[in-house]
Amino acid sequence: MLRLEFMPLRRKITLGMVLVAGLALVLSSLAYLAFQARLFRQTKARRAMTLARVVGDNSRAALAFNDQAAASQILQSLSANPDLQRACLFDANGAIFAAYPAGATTFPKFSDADSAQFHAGTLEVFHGIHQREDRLGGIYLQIGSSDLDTAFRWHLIFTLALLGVLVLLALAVSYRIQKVITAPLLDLAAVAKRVSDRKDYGARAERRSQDEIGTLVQAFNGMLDQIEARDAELRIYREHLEEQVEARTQELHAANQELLLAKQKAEGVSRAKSAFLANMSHELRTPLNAIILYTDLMKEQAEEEGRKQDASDLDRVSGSADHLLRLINDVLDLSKVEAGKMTLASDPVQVEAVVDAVVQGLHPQAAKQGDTLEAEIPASLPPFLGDATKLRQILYNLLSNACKFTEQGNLKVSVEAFEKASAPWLRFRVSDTGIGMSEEQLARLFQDFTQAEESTSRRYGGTGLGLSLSRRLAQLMGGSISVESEPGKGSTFTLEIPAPPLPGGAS
Amino acid sequence: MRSRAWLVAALIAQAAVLSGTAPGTSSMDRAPQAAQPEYEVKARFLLQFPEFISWPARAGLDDPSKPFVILVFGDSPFGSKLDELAANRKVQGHPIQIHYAKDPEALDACQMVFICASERRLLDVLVARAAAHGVLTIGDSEGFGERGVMINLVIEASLPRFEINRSAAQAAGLVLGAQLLGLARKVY
Repeated sequence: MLRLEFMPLRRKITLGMVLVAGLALVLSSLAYLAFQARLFRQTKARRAMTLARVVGDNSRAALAFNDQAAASQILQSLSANPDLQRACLFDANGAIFAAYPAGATTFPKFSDADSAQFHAGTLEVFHGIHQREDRLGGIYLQIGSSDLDTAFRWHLIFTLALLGVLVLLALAVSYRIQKVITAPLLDLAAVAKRVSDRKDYGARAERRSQDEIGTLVQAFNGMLDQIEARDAELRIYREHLEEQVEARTQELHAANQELLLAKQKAEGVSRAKSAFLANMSHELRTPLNAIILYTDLMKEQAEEEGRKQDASDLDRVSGSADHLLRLINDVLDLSKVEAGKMTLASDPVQVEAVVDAVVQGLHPQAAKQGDTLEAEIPASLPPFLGDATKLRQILYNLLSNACKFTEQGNLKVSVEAFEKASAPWLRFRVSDTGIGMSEEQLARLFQDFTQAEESTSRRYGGTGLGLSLSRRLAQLMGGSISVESEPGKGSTFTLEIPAPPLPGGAS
Repeated sequence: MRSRAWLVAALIAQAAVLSGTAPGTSSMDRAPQAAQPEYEVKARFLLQFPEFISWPARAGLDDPSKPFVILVFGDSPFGSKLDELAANRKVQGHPIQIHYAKDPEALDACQMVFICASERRLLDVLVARAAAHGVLTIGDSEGFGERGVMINLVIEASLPRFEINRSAAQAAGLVLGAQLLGLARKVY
């Protein structure tokens, strides 16, 4: 079995053409031979019948005058024909009258009808011999077909030789023709292989014809053009891209450097600011303390001397100085927190004592505003580890705010213990029935130097730093401050801080 | 009838050939009892000869409706055999008429004459007359052929054969076929 898929195209085409030509030649040769064989037989049969007629006609007198010797003599003349195997003359009754070769006796039964038929390569001819209406007898010829065989054999040899020559001719012609067809294809295949092997996209196939292969070659070349153009474009892009990446990297690097510098600068500034604030607050406090001290002395002196107007003025100076001192303290604390310099104490804290101190401290102010003040502390709250000063500061801030914004109302401080993530916590609620806040005010509440409204600071006083500081302290403790409020109905601030128990038991 | 008679003759002939009979048997053929079969064969021969011969125009055979007249001249040895064989038969397309005569003038109105052995003394007259009228002369007597009878039947090995006098036929304007000549035992 020929493996067609592995066969080169040129051999396929040649083989195809030779096969077609060979098949056509073989078929036509076979048809020719068959026709020739038939023609040979027909001609031979016709000739044999003619021979039978001639011999029969010549035997008429011999039959008519019953001369077997003459008949036999006529038959012996048939020996000139080498293919004639046997012959005989029958008399009118079908009996054998004369035979060839002389003495032969076995002959088929005579048939009066003229016939010439081949039986197994032998031609048998019957011919009736008549004299006017009378039947004189008949003749039988048996003729071998060696001449036919010979002629046919020569025909066969000639035809086969011709076939061979023609197939060779077909081979030569198809070789030439396939060259015309395959040369451009092979050329194209070679170029394609070169392109694929060496990545040589500059190679081009030569267009030799205007047929489909020519179109293919053109399309292939067009494709290579496009690939080449694309390659060039890509190369340009690639080179450009490297430059761009380089430029971007440098830009990024510079930006990073700038950012780093800016960050360092900002950090430095921040630290400087915090340090400045801390230093300044400290430095401010010293002269302020002196101012407060001496103002108090002068006020006492003025009261003693009965200068009421001076005493009143000095009282205002003292109040403003106190305010200023608180402000400075707050700023100092805030800047400490921001600078990360605020540290928390870790001592046993008695909750009740802290709350009591705050409530007692603000009692006079509440009384002045006409507010009632109550504290609700559950009995037997255990002490916890924490910073009592900072806690007091937060609570003080919250309660003084409540007091500040409430007139003729109720102030209430309540404490409860609860568990969060299986750790003990404390919740302080400071609620009032004061003016309350809107949602917008709540949103801005914990920002530095912010009060619910600009106008409130003028009207109610305060530094605006209290809530901000309280929240930071609460966060420093790991807790939080939240607020709920409704305008005109009051506010409730809630402080939640973890309350780790004292080491060594609950006592 | 005819074919059976032919068969009998053929069987006799073949038996004679196969047994290689001595001349003694031929003498038996000449016996009065055997004469019938011999002349039956000869009568058949008589009716066959015209097929191998062509007559000159003066024989008057151009008209196919005219009869072909066979004259038996002298004492007929055929009995009724010849008439029987010739009945409903044609020669060269002509109906056959068998005439019997002993007057040489009868030769003028026939195409073929069988000269019986009895007419030996009139032979020259008959031959000359036949030549003049284009009449085929046939005989079966010793020496007739030599003396101008165109076809003279002879017995050879107990089979009927014939001699031909070609010059006599040529003189009468008759052409004897080549096959006939080929079968002739002697040609004068």
